[in-house]
Amino acid sequence: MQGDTQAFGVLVERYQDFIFTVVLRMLKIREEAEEVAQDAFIKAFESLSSFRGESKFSSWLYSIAYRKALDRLRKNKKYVATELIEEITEGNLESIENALGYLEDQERKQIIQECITQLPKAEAAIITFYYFEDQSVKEVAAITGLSEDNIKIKLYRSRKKLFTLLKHFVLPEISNNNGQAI
Amino acid sequence: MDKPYKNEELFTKKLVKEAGLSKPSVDFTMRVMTEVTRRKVTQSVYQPLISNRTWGVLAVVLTILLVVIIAFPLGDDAIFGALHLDTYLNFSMRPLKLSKTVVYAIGFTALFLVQIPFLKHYLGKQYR
Repeated sequence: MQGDTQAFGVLVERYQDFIFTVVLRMLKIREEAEEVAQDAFIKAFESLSSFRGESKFSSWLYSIAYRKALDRLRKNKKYVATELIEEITEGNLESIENALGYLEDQERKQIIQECITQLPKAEAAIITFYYFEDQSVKEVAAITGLSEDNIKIKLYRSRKKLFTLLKHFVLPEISNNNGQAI
Repeated sequence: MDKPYKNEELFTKKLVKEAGLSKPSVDFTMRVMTEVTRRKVTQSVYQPLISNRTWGVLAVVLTILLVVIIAFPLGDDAIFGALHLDTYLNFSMRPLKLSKTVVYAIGFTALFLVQIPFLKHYLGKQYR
């Protein structure tokens, strides 16, 4: 595989959407995300020879992209995390699901995307790895370099945050700040 | 996953799957590949300072010189004797005397030079 530019082109085609999505969810800015995703692919190409096949190729590629995005965030230092979590009950969950059900497909998709993007950088990436790519906790831990327990906690927190964000989007009238609707 | 989280898990999975993936701009692959190809071209292949051919020529020249010197020692009946070089090169060589320190110094330098190829090979392997 080493140095085979054409084969690498196929890999870029296959992984570009996912890599771009993860980086975009971490950086939140399209132009920067494209730049970082591009850097990640170039870095991967240059270090293809160091890929030893101990992990899946995809995991190896994701970890390069994840680290590149973190580097960029560290350089920018302008990121402000959303630290708002509300207690979401089973009932809330159902009403969120119902409210989403009334929306047009396109609109619903857009709202969910927006909410995921509003999650803190690492968590947005982690839920994408775990829920979209069906990676195991162990694999996500290897990609991000975090411990498995930490991943589990982050998954739990990002679920809660995502529900909170969605709730504010689709059910603004019953957010905890202005009292529950009866 | 524990039961209380099962609904949450399923719902999150559904949401994230539904959100799908964002697409980079159309020319993304092309830009990556252009950059990759450009870097591949500029990444010059390692060329030794003295090529194998030069080494070959040097070896041949040295061998010929050595053979000539051994086969035709400088003397009256030697091949160079006919040229009467000794009339131009009129010097007498004094016996070479080296102090112990110089001998040690030469020895250690030789040892050091012998190590270089090994070290080079070792480091090259590490960074490959």
